[in-house]
Amino acid sequence: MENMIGSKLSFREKCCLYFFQGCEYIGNATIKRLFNHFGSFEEAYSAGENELRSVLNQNTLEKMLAERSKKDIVLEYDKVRQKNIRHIYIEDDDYPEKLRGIPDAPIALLVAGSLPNPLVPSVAIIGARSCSEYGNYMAREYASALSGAGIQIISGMAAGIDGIAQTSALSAGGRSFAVLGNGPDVCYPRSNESLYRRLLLNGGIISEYCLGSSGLPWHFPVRNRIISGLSDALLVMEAKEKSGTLITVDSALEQGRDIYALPGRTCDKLSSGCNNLIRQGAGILIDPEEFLGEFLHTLSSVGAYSGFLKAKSSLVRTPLTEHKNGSELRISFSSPEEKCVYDILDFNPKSMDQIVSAVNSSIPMPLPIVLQRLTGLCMKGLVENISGTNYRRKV
Amino acid sequence: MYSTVYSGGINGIGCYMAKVEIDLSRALPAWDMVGKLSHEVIEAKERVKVALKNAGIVIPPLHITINISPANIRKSGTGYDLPIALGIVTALGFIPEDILEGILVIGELGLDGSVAPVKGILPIVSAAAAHGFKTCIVPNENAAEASYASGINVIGVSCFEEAMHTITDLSDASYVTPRNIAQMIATQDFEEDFSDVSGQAVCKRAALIAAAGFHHMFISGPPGSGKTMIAKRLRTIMPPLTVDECIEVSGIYSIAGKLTCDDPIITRRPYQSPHHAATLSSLTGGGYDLHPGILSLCHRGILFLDELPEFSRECIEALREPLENKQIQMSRVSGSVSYPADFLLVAAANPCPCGFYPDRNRCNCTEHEIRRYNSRISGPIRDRIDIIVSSEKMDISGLTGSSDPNGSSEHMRGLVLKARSIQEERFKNTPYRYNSHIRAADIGHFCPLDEESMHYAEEVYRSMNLSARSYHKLLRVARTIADLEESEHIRISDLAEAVCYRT
Repeated sequence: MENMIGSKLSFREKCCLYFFQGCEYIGNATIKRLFNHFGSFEEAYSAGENELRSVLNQNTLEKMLAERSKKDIVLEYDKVRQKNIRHIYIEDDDYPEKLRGIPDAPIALLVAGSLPNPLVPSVAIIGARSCSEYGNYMAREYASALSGAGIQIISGMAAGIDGIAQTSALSAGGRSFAVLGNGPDVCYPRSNESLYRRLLLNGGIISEYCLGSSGLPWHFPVRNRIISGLSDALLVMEAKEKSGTLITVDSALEQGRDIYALPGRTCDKLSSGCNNLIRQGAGILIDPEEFLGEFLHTLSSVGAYSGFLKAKSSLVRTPLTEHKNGSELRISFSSPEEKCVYDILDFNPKSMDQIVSAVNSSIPMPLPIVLQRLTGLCMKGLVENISGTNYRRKV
Repeated sequence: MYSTVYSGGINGIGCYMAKVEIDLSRALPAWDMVGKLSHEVIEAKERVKVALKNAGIVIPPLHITINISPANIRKSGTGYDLPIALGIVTALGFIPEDILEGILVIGELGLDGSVAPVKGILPIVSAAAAHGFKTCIVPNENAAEASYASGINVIGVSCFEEAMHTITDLSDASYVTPRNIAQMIATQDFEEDFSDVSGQAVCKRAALIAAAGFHHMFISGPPGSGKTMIAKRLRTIMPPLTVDECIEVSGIYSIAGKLTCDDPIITRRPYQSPHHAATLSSLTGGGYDLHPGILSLCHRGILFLDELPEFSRECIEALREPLENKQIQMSRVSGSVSYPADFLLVAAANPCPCGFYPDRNRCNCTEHEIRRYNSRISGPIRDRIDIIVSSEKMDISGLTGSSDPNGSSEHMRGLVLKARSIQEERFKNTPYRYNSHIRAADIGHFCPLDEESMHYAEEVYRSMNLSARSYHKLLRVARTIADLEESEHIRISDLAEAVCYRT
């Protein structure tokens, strides 16, 4: 009974609430309406058909009655406890304070592992599933810089940016929390299985859906409000012009969270969503350290997380006081050809052929020389090899 | 009434000499054929009967027994028709028996007595020459092919009467003389040329290295970026086949029935590019008659596998054995044979299912799809590929630019030949022929590094996190690059370039 401690609901009430959560056709708002109408979940659960009709429409009502006659709610609820998953009602003490205030706050959460520490700031890092090498790299940079400073990383454990950010947060020794669009005991996508297990140990899995629930298409936009709700700022790494990521941005705006976007080349479709956000006034992500300083500064100016900030005071930085000098000025090249090859590369992977033809239009040199200089740059750690035959600069 | 005629057959890639024995006895008329014969050999009975009748020879009612020895080898093919027919007329006394001694006879008969070509002539005749036969009688269409076997006189016949006539008066026969192979090799030209490929500097350089050191090569690139073009042109820069190699390769083609009378010998390196829907047995060969497959038909030549990940898994895995042992071992009900399959593999693939990764503006493939697509080429296959390059879609300036004189096949072949002769010198009295063949144990001996380049190689090994196997691949490719540059030692620059072609 340990998860009843501090709960405002009786065991029976929680069973009934969990039953309603388990009905795919009854949403968060409807559950709240039922509660308001009947005064308790148990009343709502045991109410007669006629009484229910005033809250539920005919279709929903029929489905619910059919399900009610089939299910043993206590048995169902027992499974939650057996799996060591907490069921937290909105009025419960350990329900995240930040979520309580958001519009359409989830009536109850299922949590495997732990919830974000309310005394430590959290940042959401989100973005496209099929991301580019650039997005991949930047997600890693920001996630490891932020979690290195002790900040918690919230995301959706999806393929692409989400998973990359959370994996690197954990690898940097930080804590990370995933909000899922399916049951907390289901790992989706399967490719993130190892991340899922690591999150259980060094963070948590949060969901408003019942055990075993598979992620239905409309779950994902809805869960996005929890991602933004749990965080103090939202970082968008890569998003196309029409992207699910922008739904999270909308809910973050509604909830009054700060939004930052990573700028990209205007011709890259995967950056068009981000560039648009910047045009609309989102913060611009230039450098992880700079963002970190600015973010902590904003927090301290509103007086939040004072305990955390006191320990991290050295990182707090007023915006735009310091600028990094272009680090490339300090690079010593062993030959003019090497510099020429380096100048041609940027952070987007280029194939050897592209490099060779670009080199030839500046300083013509034999092909073997270009390849030799490329290897030289790789060994100096200035350039890295991507997917076998493509190269790009290392930051 | 007994006679013997000598003939031969193929068993996989090997040949055997066969003795066709015919006995005519005064007993109940019958026709028996023994000697582990397959269906088409037994059918010779009907063809021979009618062909003899149409040649005006009446077979009297006798008990005819035919044995083809050695009786423990399964005989197949239609080449026994002519020896059986000649044997019968000899046993009947139309031809003196001793004439047939030392003569090999092969050919299929038509009902009208015409002699039709058969498969596998060249290796059978070569084997016959080795067994001491002095003369052979073969179908006219196969005569040119047979003439390339040395040490044996070849007579081509077009019908049964001609065969009978020729054999009774050998002094009158005209022997087929072969065309000069060495001259044919020297004068061959190709429709394709590397100067047709504009841009693609890296791919061309990689092709040069692959041809020089016989390194297997993998080209990754979007659709339409010229992967096939490069592969097709690779044989134009490879060293020409030697005369012995021509005979070897032609033998395989002969067994597969792919030599025609217009083109009786293979003088160019073979090029095979099976479609990705190819079946396992079409690649490896096999079947009841143990015929050679595509992997053997490109022996000493190029095997180009376009869209490698689209090939079935079993087909891709079937490459492991020939890539490792340069031959294919096949075991079927009818026996087990090993075919030579020493080819240069050029594999091509898109970088992802749609072909445009890492250009994320065009590629929508998920990470998972890309990984799954690439994982279809298993590690053991990747391990055996020394050179990996990507081809890029050319922009318009690459298409319209003037062609580079150093990019012609002739120029590149010159470089390859130089590197080849250096390798010949190096591998004298060793089992190796090319740098790619060097086994790990001998790498230190054949790819020596001086102190400076050793230090560099160690640094590469550490910083690139190489495995021992990929380190060896690196050294082999660097050895070939050094040979191309006519440098005795592997220099730092050779290593640095080789790094760019690694996995």
